[in-house]
Amino acid sequence: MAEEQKDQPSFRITYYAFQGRAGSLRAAASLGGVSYEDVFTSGEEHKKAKEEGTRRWSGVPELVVFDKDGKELITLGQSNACTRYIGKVTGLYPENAVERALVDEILDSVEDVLNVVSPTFGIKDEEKKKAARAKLCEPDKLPYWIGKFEARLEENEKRGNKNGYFVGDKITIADLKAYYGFQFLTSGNLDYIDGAKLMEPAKRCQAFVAKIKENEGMKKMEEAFAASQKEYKENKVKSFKRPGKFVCGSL
Amino acid sequence: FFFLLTEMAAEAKEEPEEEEQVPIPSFKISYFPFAGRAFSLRLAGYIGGISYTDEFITKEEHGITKSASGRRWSGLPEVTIYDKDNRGLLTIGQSNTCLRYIGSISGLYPDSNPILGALCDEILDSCEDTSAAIKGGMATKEGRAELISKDGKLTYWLTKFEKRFNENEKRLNNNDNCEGYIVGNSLTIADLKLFELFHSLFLIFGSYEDIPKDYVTQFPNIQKHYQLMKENESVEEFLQKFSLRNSEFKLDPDDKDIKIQTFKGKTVYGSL
Repeated sequence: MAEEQKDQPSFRITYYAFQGRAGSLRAAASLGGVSYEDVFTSGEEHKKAKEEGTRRWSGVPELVVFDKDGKELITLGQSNACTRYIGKVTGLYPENAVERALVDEILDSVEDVLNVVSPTFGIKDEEKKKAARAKLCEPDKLPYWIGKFEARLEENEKRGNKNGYFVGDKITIADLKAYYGFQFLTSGNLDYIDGAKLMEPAKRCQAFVAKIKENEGMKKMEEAFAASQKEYKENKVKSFKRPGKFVCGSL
Repeated sequence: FFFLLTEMAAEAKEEPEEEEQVPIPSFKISYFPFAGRAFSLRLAGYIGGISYTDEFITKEEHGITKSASGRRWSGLPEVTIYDKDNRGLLTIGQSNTCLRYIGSISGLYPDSNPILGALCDEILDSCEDTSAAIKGGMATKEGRAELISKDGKLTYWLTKFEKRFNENEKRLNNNDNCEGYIVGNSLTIADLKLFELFHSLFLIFGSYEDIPKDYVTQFPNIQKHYQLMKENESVEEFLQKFSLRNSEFKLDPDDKDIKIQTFKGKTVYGSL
């Protein structure tokens, strides 16, 4: 039984071949040392699934949890629900109700930031897109939000937690969600948005990003992910098994 | 004479009138004086039997606080959590975060099984997605027609919720008679968040003649759930109290006893 379980993924994450909203899921599973299957989907496949009504909610990521026999138990959607599930089974979501609330705030607020930007993706006219993106850089939009994340880091520090994380003194799913949120803003893939300029006043956020980037577990995970992206691009391989402890679900 | 003496002695032994105890709140909810995004929070505290303070904030007060950068994130509700000395420990924001916190301390969030927790979390997030999806469209006749069309966004989301009820019932079939809750067989914060959404949706439907009265009949589970929640005794009780307080607040927004009210219940402190 232990032999069979060695290769058994605890769950399957389905998302596109970039980190995006699945970054925090993959990172939580990897840092938490649990086995999972990482499945890449495409825009066309997602569109087809949506039209066929097989999408759990409206988007990806989706998380299929396996039972003790390795059978599909349930499919979950909503990136924060999935991230929180993985956080609970890996210990990256705190036990204390107040700390949990502090983590949840970060998860929700990163989504608020993503949702501020996402309506601009659909703008076809380049001039209109440029104007819309410029508006996002006004003080009451993205800079306002980044200021809030900066304040949260400062508050955690003032509570006596000196390690530069968002909640407590250990890495949690809040840090992973925020990290990929910041990556989204600063990757350079958002036309007309200078991410580095946005982050410039947020010194603690910058230090935070650097710290997460240097985390050994994160480096290992990103290296394996980059290799998977190459396999997907060159050989159309879609499914990748990530090693770790098997943690099944039950109902 | 003896009879009179006995009666006087009995009167003297009567217990002195107990002073009304001011409940010690576990937390304070700050939100506008309408249902909005705090409906589920207020209900969770009330049904969960947790002592809490409910503070009405006016639009003007919120505007002033936000301009002075006093808002935790960008909006309301906010929840101030008290410590064992009844001092403010910290303030949290984000409605679903607040709802989950109140759920956790009141037994209305399934903490025992992470999958049940995730099923609740999905509902909380999807209710917010639904509200966001219909936000712009509800304002115009064309917008509403599109939202409620066969392929419209509102129809899409309500179909998803309808399906979730069927799945929950299937999971329960082998065990209990299904009561019609959305996760498991008892009330959770997922039901309260759904009730918050449906309550506001049904109000909206009622105010527009161009939305057919039979639009919701294609969602029997949703209709059943709405009835289930409305018929819940505590929900009914809370709604009556809230409606009365709302009317009183409109008449006299400066009356501090109406603006800030504390509900009795179990006191659950926060700690870090």
